Amino acid sequence: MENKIDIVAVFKQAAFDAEGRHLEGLTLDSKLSELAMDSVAVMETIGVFEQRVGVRFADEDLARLTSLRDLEALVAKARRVA
Amino acid sequence: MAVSPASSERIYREYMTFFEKAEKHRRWSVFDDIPWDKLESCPRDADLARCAETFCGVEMYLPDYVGQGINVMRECFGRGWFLANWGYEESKHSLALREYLRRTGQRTDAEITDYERQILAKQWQKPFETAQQMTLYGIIQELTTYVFYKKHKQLALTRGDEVLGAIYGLIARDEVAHFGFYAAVTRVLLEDDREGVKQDLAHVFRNFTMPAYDLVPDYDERVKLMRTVGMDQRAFIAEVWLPALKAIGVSRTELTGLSRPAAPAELHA
Repeated sequence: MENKIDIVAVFKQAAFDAEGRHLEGLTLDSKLSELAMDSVAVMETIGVFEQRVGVRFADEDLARLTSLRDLEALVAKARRVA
Repeated sequence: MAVSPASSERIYREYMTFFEKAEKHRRWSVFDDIPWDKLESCPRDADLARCAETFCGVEMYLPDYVGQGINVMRECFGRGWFLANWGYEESKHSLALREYLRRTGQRTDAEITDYERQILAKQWQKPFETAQQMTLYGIIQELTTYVFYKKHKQLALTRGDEVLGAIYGLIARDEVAHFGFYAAVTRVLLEDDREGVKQDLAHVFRNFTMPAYDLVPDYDERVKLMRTVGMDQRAFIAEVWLPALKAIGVSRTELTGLSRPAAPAELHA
């Protein structure tokens, strides 16, 4: 059985590793568009997030991503496929 | 890094393919291919006119785009000639938009002249130094511009402006063709120096801004209006970032970390 991942904590660390950004008040309902990050910063953060979690999201799934809750669903999907 | 003779030859062939398609299938006339006879039935919509004026303003920096770009590209025949042709095609974009504003009566000749004076009072500076970086910038800029025009075409048609919709459609078709050429050149460059191109691509993505964003009068207010068509962070990722990478055959994971701002310490240190 896969370990439960704290999506918020991992994303927060990924944002720091990728961008040196401290994201405060982050929750699963946080919208990526409300994090004051540009698209490159978001993609960099997601790249590091994928490395940390050990998954790879399909581009077409990323294109629909809006919130951390979506990210949680993508992790679950990626793990089902793996 | 200079382009190798073999790559230069391939870029020339890519240009000839692009140019042949443009000559045979994509040429259009400001005078004959825009349904000017439908002007009477078009709405006089302040938001549409404002957006058309903004697009027109960005296109008006053409002398700077061509002047600065062509000197960077001149060492490679295909890229140099592409830029000359690009200048011709882009020149029609601002002409069509000027004519739209003037013929609909939404701007007077005096207003257009004043706007032109404000635009040309400032000079655009190229955002990147090398031909390779400017080619990579071209990929993102042309595709972003295409997406903008495509979305604004839909908006214009939704509001019943058939003329503006037709203009945006013609321009969008040019922009996506320009994107295709830059993507083809990039695929050649990647074969010569994949790591170097990836480094430059990450750098260009990281520092990308739309052309003349800091030059057009009242740009912040204008761009806010223009983005109401749905050009936000998600759209940029879904409709520009990912398709651009796919077109050149680079995966996003290959770029991860290449443009990282600074080496951070521990989060809670």
